Amino acid sequence: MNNKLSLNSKTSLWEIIMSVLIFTVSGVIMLNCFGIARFTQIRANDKTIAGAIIQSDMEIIKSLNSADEVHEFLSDSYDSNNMDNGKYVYRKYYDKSWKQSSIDKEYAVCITLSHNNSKSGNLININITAEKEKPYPFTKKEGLNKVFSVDSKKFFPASGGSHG
Amino acid sequence: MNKQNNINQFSFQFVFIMIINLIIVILSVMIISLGKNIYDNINNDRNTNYDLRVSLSYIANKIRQSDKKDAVEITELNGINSVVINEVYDEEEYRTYIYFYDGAIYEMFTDRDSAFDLSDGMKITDVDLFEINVIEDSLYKFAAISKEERAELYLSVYSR
Repeated sequence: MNNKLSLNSKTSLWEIIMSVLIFTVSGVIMLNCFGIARFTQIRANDKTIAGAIIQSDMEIIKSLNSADEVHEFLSDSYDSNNMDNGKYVYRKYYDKSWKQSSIDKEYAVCITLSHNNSKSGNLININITAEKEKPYPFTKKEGLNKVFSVDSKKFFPASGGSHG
Repeated sequence: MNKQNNINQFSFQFVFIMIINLIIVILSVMIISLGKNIYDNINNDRNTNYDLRVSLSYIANKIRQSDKKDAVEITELNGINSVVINEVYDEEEYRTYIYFYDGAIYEMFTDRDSAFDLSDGMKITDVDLFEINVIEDSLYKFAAISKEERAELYLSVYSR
């Protein structure tokens, strides 16, 4: 009994090898496309949620009446804060489902404040950036950790403004 | 004996090719199924995203464009908070109500003193729940829930 694998026709073996190869290559390309599509959608969702979070924080800051109130709000609602080159940096973390969590750090929202004090008042430059801790897979562009970023300013007049 | 060997070899070759074909078919079905699942997920996420984003952006834009003194207020309408935008055209006072009713956000533009039914409004977008809360005099909180996803937006009214 000779049951060892030996195919008589070389053409047939070639055909099999080629068809398996073509199938493998097309399968890898398709899986890659699926991965890119999925993670592009996840990025779009993240951008929407991060946009709402950042806009909310910016709106709250805009509604406050003094720089001290801004720092008080940020100290209460953000997980950590530090000084970096004369700028105040506050940071809070979110898990995969965008629930605020200091344990499962999947996303970070970072707010940077720099003060320009003058006789007329205090101008605060505000930058809020949402970042993903690990880059999105299946994509090779640079700067992919950044999800959303907004720059703005808030002026607190020394005299309290027209209502002060 | 030689003939028997040829038969065995033929049958082994046939079975081998058939197994490879079967594997290719199974993997093809798995890839198509995976693609379908990914497409379904993308579609669901896109719809949820659309509902949440449209509802919050709509409210934000409406309030921003009407952010004048005493123009925007939050009042209770049939037991739930609604955004009310006061406007004057040709010295006549009108009100735009934005409220949650029957699984959707509705808008109703009417005379200031006219009574109306909640179902009279124009449907803006479907959401499972839409909450409107006053945090401070000039700070409002809006929360939209669609397919168990929740999105919140704070808005400060500059005219107050």
